[in-house]
Amino acid sequence: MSEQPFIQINDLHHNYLRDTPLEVTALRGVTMEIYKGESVGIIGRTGAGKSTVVQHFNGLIRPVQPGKVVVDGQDMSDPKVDVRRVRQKIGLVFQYPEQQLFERLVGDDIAFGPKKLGMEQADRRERVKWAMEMVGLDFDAFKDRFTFSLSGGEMRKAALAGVLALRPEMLILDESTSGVDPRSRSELLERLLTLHNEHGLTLAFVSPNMEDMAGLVDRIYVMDEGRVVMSGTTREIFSQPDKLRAHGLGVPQVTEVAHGLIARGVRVRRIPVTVEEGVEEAWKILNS
Amino acid sequence: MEDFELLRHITIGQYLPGDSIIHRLDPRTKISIFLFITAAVTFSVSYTGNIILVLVTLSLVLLSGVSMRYVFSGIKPAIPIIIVLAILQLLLYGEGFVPYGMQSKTYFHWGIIHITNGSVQLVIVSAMRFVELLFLTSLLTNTTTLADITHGMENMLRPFSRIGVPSHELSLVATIALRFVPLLAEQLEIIMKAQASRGADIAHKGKLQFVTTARQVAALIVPLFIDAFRRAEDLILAMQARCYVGSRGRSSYIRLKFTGMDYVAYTLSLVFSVAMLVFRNYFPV
Amino acid sequence: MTSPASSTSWDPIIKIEGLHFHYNPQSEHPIHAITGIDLEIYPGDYLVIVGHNGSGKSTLAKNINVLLKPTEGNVWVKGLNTRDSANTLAIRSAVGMVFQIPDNQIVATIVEQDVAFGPENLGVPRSELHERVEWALGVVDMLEHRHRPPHRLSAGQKQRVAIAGVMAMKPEILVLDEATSMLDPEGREDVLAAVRQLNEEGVTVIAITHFMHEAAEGNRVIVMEAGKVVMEGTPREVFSHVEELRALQLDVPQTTEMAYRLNQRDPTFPPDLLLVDEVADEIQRRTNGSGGA
Repeated sequence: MSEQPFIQINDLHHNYLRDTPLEVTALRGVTMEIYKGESVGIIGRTGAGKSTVVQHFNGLIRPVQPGKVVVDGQDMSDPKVDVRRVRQKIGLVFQYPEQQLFERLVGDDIAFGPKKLGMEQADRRERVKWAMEMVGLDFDAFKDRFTFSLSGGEMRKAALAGVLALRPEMLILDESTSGVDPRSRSELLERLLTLHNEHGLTLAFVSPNMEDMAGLVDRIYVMDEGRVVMSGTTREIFSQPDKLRAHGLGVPQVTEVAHGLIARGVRVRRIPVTVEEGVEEAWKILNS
Repeated sequence: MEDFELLRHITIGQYLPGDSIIHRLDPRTKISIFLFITAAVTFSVSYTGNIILVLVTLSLVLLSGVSMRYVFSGIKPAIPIIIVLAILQLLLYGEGFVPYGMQSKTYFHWGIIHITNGSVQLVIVSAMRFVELLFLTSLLTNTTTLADITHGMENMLRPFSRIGVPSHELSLVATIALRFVPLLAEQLEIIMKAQASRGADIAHKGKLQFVTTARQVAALIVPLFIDAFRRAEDLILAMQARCYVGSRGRSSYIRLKFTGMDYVAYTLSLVFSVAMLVFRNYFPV
Repeated sequence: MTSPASSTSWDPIIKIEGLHFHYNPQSEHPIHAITGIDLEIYPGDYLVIVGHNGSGKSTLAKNINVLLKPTEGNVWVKGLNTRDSANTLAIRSAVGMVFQIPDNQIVATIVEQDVAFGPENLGVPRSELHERVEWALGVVDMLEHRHRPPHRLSAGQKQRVAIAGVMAMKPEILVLDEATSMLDPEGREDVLAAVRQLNEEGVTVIAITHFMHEAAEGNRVIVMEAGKVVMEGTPREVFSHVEELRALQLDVPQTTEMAYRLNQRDPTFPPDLLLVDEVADEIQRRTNGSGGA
């Protein structure tokens, strides 16, 4: 792509608890870029530095020398950057988002973002309605419900709606499906894919689970110990199970089957990443 | 620019591993030293008395191997307030205040402002006492793990359980509270970041952020409280599942044992403190 | 794959008969969480319970260690009825339970002191306490971290400390209530390895999970839905019913799904495969040497 990346990170370093005896290095020179309209995965085991990296995307953490972070053309080390503008463009959903709700009524909580943006009452209402639709919460049924009377899954949807209500250009999900049961997870991911495909939302997924990535992202950055250790398309990354294992990660079972076949001397044309692909590839093999 | 790292600023009370004589003392001894000498400090109003106390507490801290820089770093945020208070004391306390060991003498007088040798003495002695307490706190908390402090206190309170002081329960409450403070701090950080990500104006450093509305505080406290209660519920289940039924019939993994050094330290600090208290009015100045 | 249940006794170690459980039974809207369960669990079993949220899995687990008592029916653990409060302590020291959130189970500020918490509650004498703590930490491979504060550990390490804390009470039964759902793949693997070893040493394991590939660890699987057991059998037996599970909105391991779908296209292909190696072997065997390295 010849266009400028939406997010460009160069040689980024970060230490937590700086200047205390407990200082710990989280990032040791990370370089990555994300282009508009992409869906990118950032995977790695716990402690690899994934969350630290994405918190630079929306300015929660500012780069320290020599690192450089440029978001939509703006250099994030400049103290004059309008961070709130950046955060409107780049929405960040944390782990267990349902634990961050605080307003009494669901509608009010989702309206928090738009309110901070200075939107008028009528516009806010429309925005909240849109956001709730996007996540599958009926506007009339839920807007006046007590936030804490909702089920866990409903709260999660409300939290996501709260971020979508900013109408960001990019959405980062930092382990937002952790601890969620498979059914709710696939529902959530399907909705996000719809937003990506139909509304052009740029997506970044942070997760330690490879299975989450299959069918969801075009490119993957693998991190370990504060560095990017692998990068490439989903298929390229999935083709290296041994390397992934060395970094504390696995591949989906269907990919493992493919690698098992290769190890047994069977030729596999295309490494499958989903069950559908696996069945197709196996069928081709069985009938060749 | 914002600073969300809350834990970074908590230096007081942080355990720093080491192998000094002080580190190796029984926690009960250190708690006792802290209490005894604090009592002496509380009643010490003379220059001489405080010079002695500063030197004694300083040497104890040096003995523990904790760096001076670290000890003083914890009070950095409080320094502006301390200076303001000191100036107020200097200017306003002079009237009617009889200094220790000398005749009252006014240096400067204008309206309600009286700078006397009394107010000067007060400011200097207050500063010295502040430093002494800082040293004592460091002595206890930088050389002793929270677990040991809790065990030490439980042990010392145990004789009082006969008159109804729930020493075990208090100790368990303290342990659990200490265990969850860093977790709640982390959770608060996440909540602040999540709200900032939605456009809230939080954690600004460098601006005088004194005016935070009740709404903003509620927005942080509500989810934090809910998180704390959720954790409490989970913890109760886990404790029940592990057969916790109170102090009845419990054994103890930790056994605290005095060594010779403990007896020496205990006796010396007791004698010193009693002496300082008894002679506090006999110092020349 | 685990070895089949080596029961040394014909008697079930846990017997559940006609169990019903209601939350808020006196209120206007009681929640009928368990709607009739009969189940026998034998010593040495590794039973996996699957089902989506709200199926009653966790409620069932809590009825086993008396965190909840039946509203109807009975639960016997080692022959002791859970309804009798006099049995509560004995039952809870025989049934160790590890919960989903690692942090919310750890009481003390130092690892080894937390592991001692359980046996301390049982009044175990000090010398034995030290032995048990060492043994328990050794089983979960956390001995080198014994003096560390828990908040510096990874989630997987914390969960292993929680397991150690429970095993230090020497329970015969270990219940894991979604204990791996908050861990990364490495952490999950470490926990599963520890549990596998404990089961091999004779501990009866009851694992509640929504990760299908973990269900393959057990020698028995039960599927719960709306408070009842709707499917029961070996992992292989249960997972081969792909359509039924899908109707319950549950996944099957990718391997079984592959086998099932290939079976639909070619009925001679076995539909009940479970392990990656099984699928690879079967495909390879059928390729008539048309593969090349």
